Amino acid sequence: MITIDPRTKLILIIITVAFSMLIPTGISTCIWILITTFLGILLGRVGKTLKATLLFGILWFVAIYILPEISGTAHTSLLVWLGLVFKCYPCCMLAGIVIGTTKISEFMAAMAKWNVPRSIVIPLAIMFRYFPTLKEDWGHISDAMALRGISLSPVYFLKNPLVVIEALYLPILVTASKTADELSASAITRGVENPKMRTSRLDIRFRMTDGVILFLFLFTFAGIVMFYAGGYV
Amino acid sequence: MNIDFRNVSFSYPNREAGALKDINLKISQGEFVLLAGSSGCGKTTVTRILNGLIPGFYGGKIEGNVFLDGCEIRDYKSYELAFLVGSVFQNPRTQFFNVDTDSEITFGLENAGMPTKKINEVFDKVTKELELGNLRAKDIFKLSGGEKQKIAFASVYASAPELYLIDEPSANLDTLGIEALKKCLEKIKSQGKTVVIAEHRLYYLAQLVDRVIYLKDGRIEKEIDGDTFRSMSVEALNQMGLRTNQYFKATKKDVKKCREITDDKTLSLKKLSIGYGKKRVLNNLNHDFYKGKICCVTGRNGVGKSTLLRTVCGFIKRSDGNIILNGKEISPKELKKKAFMVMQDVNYQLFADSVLNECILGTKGDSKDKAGKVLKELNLLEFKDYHPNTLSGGQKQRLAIAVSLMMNKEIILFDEPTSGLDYKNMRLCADFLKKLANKGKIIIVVTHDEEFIDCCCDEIYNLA
Repeated sequence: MITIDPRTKLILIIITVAFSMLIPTGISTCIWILITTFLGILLGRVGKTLKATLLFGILWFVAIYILPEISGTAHTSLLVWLGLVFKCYPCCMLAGIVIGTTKISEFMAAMAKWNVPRSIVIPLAIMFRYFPTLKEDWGHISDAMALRGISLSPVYFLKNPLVVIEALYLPILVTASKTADELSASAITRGVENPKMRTSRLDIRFRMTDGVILFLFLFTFAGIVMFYAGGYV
Repeated sequence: MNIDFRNVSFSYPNREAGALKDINLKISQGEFVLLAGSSGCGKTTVTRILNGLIPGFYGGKIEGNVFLDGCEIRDYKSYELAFLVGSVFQNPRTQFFNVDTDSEITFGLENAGMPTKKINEVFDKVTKELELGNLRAKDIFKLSGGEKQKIAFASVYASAPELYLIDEPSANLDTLGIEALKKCLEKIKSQGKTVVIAEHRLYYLAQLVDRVIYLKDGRIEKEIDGDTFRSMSVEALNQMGLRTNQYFKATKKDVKKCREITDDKTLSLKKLSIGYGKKRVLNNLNHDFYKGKICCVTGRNGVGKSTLLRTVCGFIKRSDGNIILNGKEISPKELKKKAFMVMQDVNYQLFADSVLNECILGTKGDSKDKAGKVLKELNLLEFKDYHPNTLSGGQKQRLAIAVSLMMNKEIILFDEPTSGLDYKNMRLCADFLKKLANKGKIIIVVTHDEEFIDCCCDEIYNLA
């Protein structure tokens, strides 16, 4: 298992976004998913990464072998849907790996090294922090809805859309604003507003592994671009 | 740290509760001071002035002067105060900035800009002194309430502040958690730090306090020195709206002796086992809950009390065994219709834009008359047009009870109903539970609160 600098991870995301924007879906998407899988496993996130790869494999299989057998509207809508999924898959998968393997404190320390202003970093950090809280809240709220006979199933939603929306809206809003308040208050009392350079418990800097990983992604990217440019570059 | 409040008055914007009126208070270096009083008396406000959240974060108008070691508090920047004053808050869930325990403990040091090597030295020292070895490198969301509070304390302790401000730290803790907390408090007291603590549960602090400041409606009504406080009778404290200063365990009661039991009046667990995946959480439970009786379920954190509640609500499928209601086996789906849970954080279960609409939500036909009656019974009628979000904690809880009555639920479950309630509201809650029981409901309460158990519970079911 390796660790890499959060800044490297951000650069990898930027490269992947460029890849998704510039390169048409095709065999290169598979290559990209493969190197992303490789990265995920190296960073120690084995199970979830392999699951994501497997899901991609299944969808790819559907696109190649099953899609041509279908005709009519089903064919078109599936084609469009799959096209969209394949376009987003590399970015989403990498983002999942990055969020799952980066500690908030690491992220903040890395951003401090890049001199990103705190007014940008702190809200981002609070956002990262809020996702797991939201997951917990969601569990409680769906329990509370079930006690009132309100279900989150699609059938119930189609029959009573307003009831479901109302039942979600208020508790999520109230608990989210309470959480945000308490989180901010706690962060302030611990000196988060200190203008002095933030340090970190973990030693954060570019290392050899960062270079190797960056080289791998850039090299693959350049190779794919050259392939599509027809060798004229 | 020496603290000096001179003629301090304060009021929150758009809110009456929690205001302070003409406070004069001196606390000297090394003192352990308890702020006591009922909800809204201004205890928390005092701590917020000391950590600078008032007026910096909460706004409001403050008059008079507050001095820390002779310097005006308003001359400090928020981060300067942060390194002098450490705050531990009530809700351990929302005082974490990080998702892993290690980063959380060192968060304050990182903000202070301490070099990496030094941070790691302090980190090792803190984990050793507070015995946190088994909590290192853990996901905070997977810790129990007590463990979270321990990490919260450690993260403040790491910064070695001169003054500790602690606001209702025991609200979400069980007896063992409170013991651990007490140990931490003893440690900082022995180090000669100044401690100001606002709390409803007093028993675990009795041996530690040097002085009790009793607040009422924003004024200091009484100052009691530690020895006098320790010798005060429970009656005298209750009269002041305070809880007991002595630890006691509610006595075990046996409900079977005092009543005739018939099968059609019970909810019975028969060899009930529940598990998630391969893991068994509860194994082979056998117990009867009776109509018209209040049963308190006790047991330490993590023993499966919440799982039991969620099973009785019909949220979880049982792995083995049966649940029998009125002599017939009952499926989770039917249980969902019969049972209602008042959650620990009742904010999750209030959906509507007014108290009255909250009661009507989901009921069929014209139920306004019934809602009026139910609200009257629960002393909520005068608030019927209020937004549920503007009610106090105790009132929100009663609104949830009203909903259960509107839905004609037979089984009403409570998850830690008294966490964060003062003495008066705790008694009120107990009275309403008795009323519900007299209507023939089955009442099951999960609680750690021995005082509460003592004043309303008919039977104790200890899950161990």
